[in-house]
Amino acid sequence: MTESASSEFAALPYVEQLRAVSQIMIDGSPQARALGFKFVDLEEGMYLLKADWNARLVGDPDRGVIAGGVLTTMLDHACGFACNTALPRLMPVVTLDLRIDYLRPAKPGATVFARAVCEKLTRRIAFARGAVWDEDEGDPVAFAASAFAIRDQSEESSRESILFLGSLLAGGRESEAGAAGKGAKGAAE
Amino acid sequence: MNFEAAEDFLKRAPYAEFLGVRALLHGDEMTLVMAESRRLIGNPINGALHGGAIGAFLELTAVAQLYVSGKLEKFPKTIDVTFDYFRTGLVKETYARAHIVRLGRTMANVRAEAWQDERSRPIAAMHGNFMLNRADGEAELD
Repeated sequence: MTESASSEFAALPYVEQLRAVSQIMIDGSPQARALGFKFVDLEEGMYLLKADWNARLVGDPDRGVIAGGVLTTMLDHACGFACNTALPRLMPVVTLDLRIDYLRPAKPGATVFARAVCEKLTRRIAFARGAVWDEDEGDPVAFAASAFAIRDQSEESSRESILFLGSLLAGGRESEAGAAGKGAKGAAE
Repeated sequence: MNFEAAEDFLKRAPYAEFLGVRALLHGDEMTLVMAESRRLIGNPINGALHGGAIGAFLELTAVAQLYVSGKLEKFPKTIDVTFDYFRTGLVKETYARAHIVRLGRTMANVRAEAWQDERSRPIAAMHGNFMLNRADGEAELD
């Protein structure tokens, strides 16, 4: 990344920095990457991702429906990152509990979307709710409700983490050096 | 008790293979094992297993236990599941056991726990309700 690109990134508001590195954060999470998660959009307090249907992720082989566990993972990811978008800076959030209501099976072959909203932040706990759908957000496949523990992290550490992630954006020598030396503090499990 | 049904389910479900899950039988007790794999990591910084993968493993364990009951004709539908996360899971084998609290005519309530180093210090637990598919037709939620 060029110096001017990296100082541009450093000057962005935190939510915009997070938006820019969201796919990188997915790709850096082996399970999220293996499930084929794709970042779609975020705002302060909201996060949206999708996953294409994959025959390896089918639960019931007779019906070709994507396994519930895949939706659980999408919702855990979306809820955690929704909390990240609501926090003032990058801090680890750790799932305390997660409840999923399965309203109906996802359609075989369909791409599934998961949107989560951070409903409430306290100093140590973040609450989020999410939904999964396939063709129509008004006809959801599943709902989730979750609570996360917010792990404290210094401002300096948060800044280092987000700047490290930003340095991976264009790829290149600077990001290789960064990867060898330190890691970004994960924002969610 | 129908362990063959549980093992058959695990062999046939692609997602069970994706997660690296197999069943161990000791007498009439079944423990499921999720293989050690870096692919299950959620947070690359501390190498913690993804909470979603742990949850998925617990849900599979519950379904496998329902198959053992011998009462299933087809794959059961999960109605709802709740996961509690106690401790970070690391990159090593994860074990789980499920207990059927109530097996009704059309519905079952199942609890499950997952652990790694110590059975007495579980990393996560689940409880959930499942709709049992009856031989005489598809079970609907309503």
